[in-house]
Amino acid sequence: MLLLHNLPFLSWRTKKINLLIASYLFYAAWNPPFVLLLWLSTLVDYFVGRALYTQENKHKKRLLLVLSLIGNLGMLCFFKYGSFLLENFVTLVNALGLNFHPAKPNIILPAGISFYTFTTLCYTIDMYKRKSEPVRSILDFSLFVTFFPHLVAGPIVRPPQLVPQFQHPHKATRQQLLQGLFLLSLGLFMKIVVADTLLAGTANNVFGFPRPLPGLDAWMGVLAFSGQIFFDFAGYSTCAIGVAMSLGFILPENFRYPYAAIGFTDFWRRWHITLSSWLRDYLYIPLGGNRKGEIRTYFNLMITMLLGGLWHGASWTFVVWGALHGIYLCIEKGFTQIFGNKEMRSPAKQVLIQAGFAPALVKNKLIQNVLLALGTFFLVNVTWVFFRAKDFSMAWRLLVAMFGQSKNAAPLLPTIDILKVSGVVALMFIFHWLMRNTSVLQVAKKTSWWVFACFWAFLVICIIVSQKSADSFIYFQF
Amino acid sequence: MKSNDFTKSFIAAAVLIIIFVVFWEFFWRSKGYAISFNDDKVIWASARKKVYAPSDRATVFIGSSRIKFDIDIPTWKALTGEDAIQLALVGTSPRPVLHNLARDENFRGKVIMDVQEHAFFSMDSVQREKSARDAIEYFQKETPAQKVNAAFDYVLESNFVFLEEGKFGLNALLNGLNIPNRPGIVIRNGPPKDFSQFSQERQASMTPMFLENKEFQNRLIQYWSDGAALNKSKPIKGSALDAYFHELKISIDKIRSRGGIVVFVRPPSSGKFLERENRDYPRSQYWDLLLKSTRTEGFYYADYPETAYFVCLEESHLTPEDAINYTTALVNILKERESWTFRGTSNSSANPVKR
Repeated sequence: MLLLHNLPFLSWRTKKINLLIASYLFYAAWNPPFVLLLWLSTLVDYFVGRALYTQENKHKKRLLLVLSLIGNLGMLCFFKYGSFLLENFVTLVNALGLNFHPAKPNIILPAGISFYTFTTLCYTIDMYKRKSEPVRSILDFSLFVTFFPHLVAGPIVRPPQLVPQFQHPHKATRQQLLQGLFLLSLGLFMKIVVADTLLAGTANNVFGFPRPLPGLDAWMGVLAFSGQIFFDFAGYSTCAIGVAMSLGFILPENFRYPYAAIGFTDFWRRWHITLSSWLRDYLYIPLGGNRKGEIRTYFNLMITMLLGGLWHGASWTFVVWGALHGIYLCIEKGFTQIFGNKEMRSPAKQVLIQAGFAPALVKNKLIQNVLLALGTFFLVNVTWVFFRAKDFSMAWRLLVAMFGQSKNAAPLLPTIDILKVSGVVALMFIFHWLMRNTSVLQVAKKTSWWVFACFWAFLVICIIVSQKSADSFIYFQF
Repeated sequence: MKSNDFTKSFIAAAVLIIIFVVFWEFFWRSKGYAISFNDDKVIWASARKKVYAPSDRATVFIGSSRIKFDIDIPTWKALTGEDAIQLALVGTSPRPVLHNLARDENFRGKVIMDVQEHAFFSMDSVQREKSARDAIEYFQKETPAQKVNAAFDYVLESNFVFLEEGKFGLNALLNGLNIPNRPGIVIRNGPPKDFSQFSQERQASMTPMFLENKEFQNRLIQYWSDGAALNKSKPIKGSALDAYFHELKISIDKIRSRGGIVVFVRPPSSGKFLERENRDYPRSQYWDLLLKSTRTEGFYYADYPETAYFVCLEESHLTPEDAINYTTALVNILKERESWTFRGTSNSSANPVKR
C-alpha cells in the first residue's frame, strides 16, 4: 500500500481508489460477506446525509434523521444486541408465567460494527444540524467510513477530521513515514509483547478459574487485565495512527496515558478519547448536558455512561461497568460542587482529599497527585472486574477474593506470572505518570538518535522473540 | 539539542535488529536445534484441509502424541502410495476429531485412531480434549487473513529455528527460568524442549540431542512419572463407559456408511509407563471392550511379533528409526487385512524404507 500510494505517476483519485479497495480487502480478510453491510451503510448515509443537509422542511428532515438512525442503530441492534434482547425478553416473559423458549439465534457479530456505526452516525447528525458541509464525492465519503486504519477498532473519526485530508493530495514526508513506522512498531509491541505475551495468560487463568482465589491471585488477575485491555486497545490505536501517518494522514489521538489520571473526569479525557468525546457531543449534550439543572445533569451523566457501557458489549456486566463509572463521575461532580475550591485544579483532588482518601498531612503536591492517581487506578481496576468477567457470579467471586474474603482459596498463579504482572503494571504506572503531559513522539524528537535507535530496536526484537502469541484485538469484538 | 529526525535512528535500529536475528538464529543452531514447526492449531487446520484430497486415497491419523512419533509419514507414503495426514494432537483424546470427521459429509477416507489409555479412557478426557476442540474451531472459523498469515508462517518457520514459539518464544524462555512457586502450586510446563521436533506434516520425532543424552531420557521418564503421580483422574467405568463407546460407534458407523474405514491401534509403550497403563486400564476392560462395543478392528502392538519387540527409549514413544520399522510393520499388517485396502499399491509385504 505504501508503494502504491507513493507512485509518482498515479493520480490522487487513483490513489484514493487504491486505498478504498485496500480497505475493503482488509475488512473482507476477516469475513467477506460483511463487506455488503459496509456498502449498505455507506450508501444509505451518503445519500441521507446530503438530503438532511439540503432539506428545508422540518418534518421531512426529522423523518430522514429517524430513518438514518433506524438504519444504523437497527443494524447494530440486530447484530450486536439481537441475542441479548431476545434472552432478556425470554427471561421476562417466563418470569411472568409464560412458557416461551425460542431457538437461540446464531448471529455473527461483524467486526468493528460499533465503530463504523458511530462514524456514520456522527456524519448524519452533523448533517442534520448543519454542523459541517456534506461530503461531495462518494469516493471521499466511502473512504472516510472505510479507511482501513480506523475501520475495525477506531479511533472513531469525525468528518472534519478526515474528509478534508482526502480532498487534496496527501503524501507522507520522510519524517511522517518514519514516525508512522515507529508508532506501528510501538503499537505492535504493546499488543504482542505486553498484552498477549506477558499479561493475557494470567488474566485468562484468573477470570476463567471456577473456584475461590486468594487475594494476591485475584488482584494479579485484575491488574493483568487492566494492563492487557490498555495495551491491547491503545496498541491498536497506536498502530492505526502510525499506519495512517506513514501514508500521510493524521488520525485523532485515542489514549493519553489514562492510568495517570487524577479522578474520573480526567480518566475519560485520557481513555478512549474519541469514544468519550463522541458520547459527550452526540449523547450527553443533546440530552441536556449540565444545562438543565443538577438532578438532570446527574441523570444525563448516568444515561451516557450506562449506554457507553452497553456500547462495549451486549451483557449486563458491561452495563454495570458503565454504571460504576457513571457513579464515580457523579460522586466526583458532587464533591466538586460541595467543596468547590478554585485553588485546587482537579475536581478529583478535591473529592479524594475531602473524602479522606489522601492523608491531609501529605503536603507535597507531587505525592498528593501520585496518591490520587493511584486511588483512581484502584477504583478503575474494580470496574474492570465487571468488564472482563463473563457473568456476575465470576465478578462477585473475584471481588470477594480481592477484598480478602475468600474461604478455602487455593493459590493459582506461579511466581513467574506474579513477577510479570507486577513488573509490567508498576512500569506502566510509572511510564504513564512520567508521560502524562507529553507524547511519545515529542519525547522521541528530544532523544538522541542512538538512544532512540536502541529503544526502537528493543521494541522490534521483543516482538520477534515473543513470536506469534498474538490473538485478535479485544476491541474488534465491540 | 538538535531534534531527532528519525532517519539515523531508523537505519541504526534496522542494523541492530538484523544483527540480533542473525545472532539469535546462530545461537540456537549452535546448541543443536534444527528447523521444527510450531505444532499448533494453525498447522493442524492446514493438515485438516487435506483429508479430502485425494478424497479416497488418504489415511488420517488421529490420537495423541504416540502416533505422532510412531508413524513415519515418508515411510507410510512410500509404502502405500497414499497420503498420510497427521491430525493427532499431543495429550488429547481423539474423540472430538473423530466426531468432526464423522460429521463432515465430504470425508470418505481411512482413519487410524491411536489409543493411549490415560488420554482415551480417563474421566478427565473431556478436559484433555480442549486443544482438539480449539483446533477444530480454528479450522472451522479460519479467516482469509489467518490463511494468508499461515502461509507466511510456513515460509518463515521453514527457515528460522528460533521461530518455534513453544521452545524459544518469550513466555517459554521466561517459564524456563524455573522460579520456585508458592506451596500448593503445581505447574507442569511440558516436556523439556530438547525432547521433540515437528515436521511440516506434523510428524513428531525425538531430537538428536535427546537420542544421544541418557540424562535427558531419564529426566523425561521422571517427568512422565511425576505427571502420573499428580494425575488424580479416575478411569471411566460402567454405564458412562458404555455411553462413551456408543458415541464413538455412531461416528465410526457414519464414516463407514460413506465408504470410509476406521481402525484402532495401540502403539508400543514400555517400562513403568506400560505398567501404569496396564494397572489403571486393564486390557480386557478397556481395549478389548472398545473393539467389541464399536465393532471395530484394532491392532495392539503386543499381538504381533513384528511390533511386540519395540522398547521405547523414554517409555512412551518410538525413536525415529523405530518409527520407520513400526510404520513398515503396521503397513504390512494392514495389507494382510481384507477390510483394509491400499489403493495405490498391491497388497504385498513391504520392507523398511531406508533414508
